[in-house]
Amino acid sequence: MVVNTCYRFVFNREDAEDLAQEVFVEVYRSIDKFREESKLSTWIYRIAVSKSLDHLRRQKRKKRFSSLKRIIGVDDPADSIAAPDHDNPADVLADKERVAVLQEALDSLPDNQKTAFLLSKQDGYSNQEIADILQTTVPAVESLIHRAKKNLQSRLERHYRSNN
Amino acid sequence: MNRSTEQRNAEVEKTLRILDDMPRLEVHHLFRAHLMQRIDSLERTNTLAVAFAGGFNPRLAFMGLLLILNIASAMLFFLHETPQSTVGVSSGLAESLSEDYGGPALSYYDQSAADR
Repeated sequence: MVVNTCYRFVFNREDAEDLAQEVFVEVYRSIDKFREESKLSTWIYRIAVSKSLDHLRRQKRKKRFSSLKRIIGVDDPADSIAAPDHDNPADVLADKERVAVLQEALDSLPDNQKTAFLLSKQDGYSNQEIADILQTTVPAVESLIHRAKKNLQSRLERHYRSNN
Repeated sequence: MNRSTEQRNAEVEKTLRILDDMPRLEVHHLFRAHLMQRIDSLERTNTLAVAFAGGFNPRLAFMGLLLILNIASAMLFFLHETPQSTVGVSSGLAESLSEDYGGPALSYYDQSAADR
């Protein structure tokens, strides 16, 4: 579940596994700081979310130097995004492009909207659990998810309009 | 126009569906082994840190410092005092010897005769 939570954020298997490792190491290191105000699982998912958001921030900073990386021949991180399996190379390419577009649109969302939306898309998270992870209320989570959907929709529409 | 809007909406829908179609990951079979390895190395680092930080006792360090200062001051004292005291003792010894054995009764020859 922790790996899958991280995977939703980073879209990359290796990164998700690395992040999950970091999450468990952090849990091991600071288990004595756990105050039992929430469920242990909620606390762990909160760490997973914060680690994933940190990773996305680092990746965003890296992307700023992507042009420089291209010059010196280092792979672009966007290349490592896993695309759904297809036999047709054109479909693979289209899916890869869609993943990149989606990731860019998600990156433009505020952290709380992104988190609420991505967790809502994952099986096993109720709005109450998302509210516990984000330390907010259920109506606030519903509002965050609604706004995230709306923002994503408009950003994607804008993207495809400009590309047509 | 309508066609392009439809196409665009279809693209948006396909893009958003990626999240719904994301496969559920099964972790690598070595995930647990790697994790235990990381935790072990972390524990070892922590033990070393505790050995350094926990072994440091301010009281003991202060006592050590005092001992060093004591030894250093004692050494300084003796290094300065010893040559003087040796000179003093030796000059005193020479004086007492000359007094004891310098009398005319014990001399091998008569000084006044020699002067003559």
